[in-house]
Amino acid sequence: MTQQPLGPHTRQADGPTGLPLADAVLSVATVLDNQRPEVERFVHEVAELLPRLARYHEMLLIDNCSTDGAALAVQALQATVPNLRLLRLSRRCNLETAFAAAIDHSIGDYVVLLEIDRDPVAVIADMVAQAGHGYDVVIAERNERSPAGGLTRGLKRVADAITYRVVGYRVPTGASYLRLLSRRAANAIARIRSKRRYLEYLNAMVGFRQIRVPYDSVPVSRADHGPLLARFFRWLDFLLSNSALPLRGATMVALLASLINMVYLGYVVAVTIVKRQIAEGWISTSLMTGTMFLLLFLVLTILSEYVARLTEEVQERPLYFVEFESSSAITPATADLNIV
Amino acid sequence: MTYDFLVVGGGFYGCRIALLARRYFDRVAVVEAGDRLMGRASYANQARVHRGYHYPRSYLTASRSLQGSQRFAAAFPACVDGTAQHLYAIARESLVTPTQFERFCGWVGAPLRPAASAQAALFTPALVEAVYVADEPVFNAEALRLATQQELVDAGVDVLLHTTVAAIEPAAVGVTVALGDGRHVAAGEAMLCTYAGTNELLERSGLPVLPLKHELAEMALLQLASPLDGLAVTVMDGPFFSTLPFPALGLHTLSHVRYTPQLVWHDGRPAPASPGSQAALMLADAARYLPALRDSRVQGSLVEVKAVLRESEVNDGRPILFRRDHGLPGLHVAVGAKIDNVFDILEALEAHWTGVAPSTVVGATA
Repeated sequence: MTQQPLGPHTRQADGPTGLPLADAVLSVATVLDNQRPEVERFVHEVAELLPRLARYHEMLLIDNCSTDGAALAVQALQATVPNLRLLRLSRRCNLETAFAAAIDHSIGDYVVLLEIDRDPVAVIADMVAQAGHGYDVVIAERNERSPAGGLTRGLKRVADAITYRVVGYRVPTGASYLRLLSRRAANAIARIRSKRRYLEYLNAMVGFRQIRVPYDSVPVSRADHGPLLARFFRWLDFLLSNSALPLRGATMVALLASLINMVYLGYVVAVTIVKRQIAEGWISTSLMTGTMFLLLFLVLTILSEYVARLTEEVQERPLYFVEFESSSAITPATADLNIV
Repeated sequence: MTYDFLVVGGGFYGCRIALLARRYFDRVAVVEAGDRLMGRASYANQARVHRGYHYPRSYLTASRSLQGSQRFAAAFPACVDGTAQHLYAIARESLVTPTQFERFCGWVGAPLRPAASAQAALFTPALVEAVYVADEPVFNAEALRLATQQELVDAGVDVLLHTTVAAIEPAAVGVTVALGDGRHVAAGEAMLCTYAGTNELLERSGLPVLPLKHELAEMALLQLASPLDGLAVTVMDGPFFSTLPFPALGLHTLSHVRYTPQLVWHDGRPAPASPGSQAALMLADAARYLPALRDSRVQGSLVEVKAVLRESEVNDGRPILFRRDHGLPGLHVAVGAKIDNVFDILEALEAHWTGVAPSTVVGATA
């Protein structure tokens, strides 16, 4: 990674911005998902906070095809709130893909991701302070009110160990979207065009200096990543889409099965030579079955090896298409139209 | 003071119109509020000599631009600077695809070839789909000013600098121009070439204002880092940016579709103060596409008021707004947005004064 957030035109921070570079640009990006009642409060809170954190800043809302008029509310706010960008996706995507669009389109040297109705805006200040200490990734972690039960914790530990074995790096589970990414961390994540994406896993995949910032949870209507079973499937999905190892396991099983068949064919031949009394038809049936299974498993071995290679080199396609983008055009107070 | 033809506004259009008028009128003058000619929008712009590449969704505008640029280059050869190699990059989220762009340039007749791999490698592949070398020069605003100034002297056109106009008033013959210092100038005909100041002056004079949208536009001035030496870059087509040499200062300008407009208003109020530089945001976004920009230095900004004809906001037509006898007999108004379009208005005026129809299609609204 040669790109640096620091250019010669910037200078070291000496002001109250908290960012490591006084002239760094801070982006706050979120996904607008039918949150009309919340969005105005959110925009005003962020707009009030941003100037205190960075001299240059922007707010980016990815409208995931809201149908409750939330986008119109944002466009109305663009008349008064500076550097407020709205980008509407042309069709509804899952939340992970919408956040991928947020990462792609934010311009900041630092990008804060959060969810409008789940994450407290005030935590941004703490995360920015950590970025000031040189961290590329700052993940906000909720102080859970009810600590997970012993069984859940045990399962989580087992899952983490398996993950490490299968994909080769540790993935801390249970974080929300709320995080700060430096430009290079954001760029690295943006380069992964996988269709099955989970930000927490992608974040772990790209690495960089990470730190966790605790915050007290606020009451939310939506559950944190769903129930245990849903989280299990997310994990399984992640493993399957990020590693060909399970398929390699199938290759090994098929290879083993063909070896066993070879041994079995040897056994049939040995029995034919050694034994006198053999039931009629046993030799031909056994030879036939053994040969067929040997061939079958050999073919399966080769096929699954090829599929594994294809999986690793599969061609990428765009994740989403942008329908339109609009940004602030602040009009001074008395904008009367004069038309001749 | 009495003039046969008085031009209000000493920008490029005003000066060229005065020079043409001198052929048909004896006493011609240019009134300019600033301390020099062509010091406002004629200077503070990207100095692009449009050759059509910029308008891939409007064949007509593009081919007109190409014609205009050729006439401009022929008329002011010493002021056109084509030393920089101009790279046109098509962004992945562009409104035109590379194939469309290639075809379009072929139709218009604008030369285009794929960029060398070393130049294409300057761009972020995830964001930029194709890079081309185009043939599009810039003009040197300072050289153009000096040349025009000399022409005015040679032609015997009076130039009144530091002279503001308070209002245009009706007179028995022609119009009376009330100056800011209280003096009055009688003019047989007067032409307002005050661009973004037009509606302000019309409003002060109690005359109908024009359907113009005003924009306070900022361009960052950059000292580019060495990998970008000798290059001009335009990223198309949507909310992207361009960085072009600005020969008058020996720097590059950086203009960004999203951040260059700072404020927008529609009536004839005076230009508001700039709410602050957005250069850092322009650079942050532009550097995503062209990482070498990160190492360039911001040396300041040019902030100027732009006027855009409201009907042409949705397309790229950018015609010259030309109104004859606007509100008062003998008072004409011309608002043009592109320096290399000037020949259209000159032809229209010449046709009017000579009574001969213009030789080419004129992009003016009458």
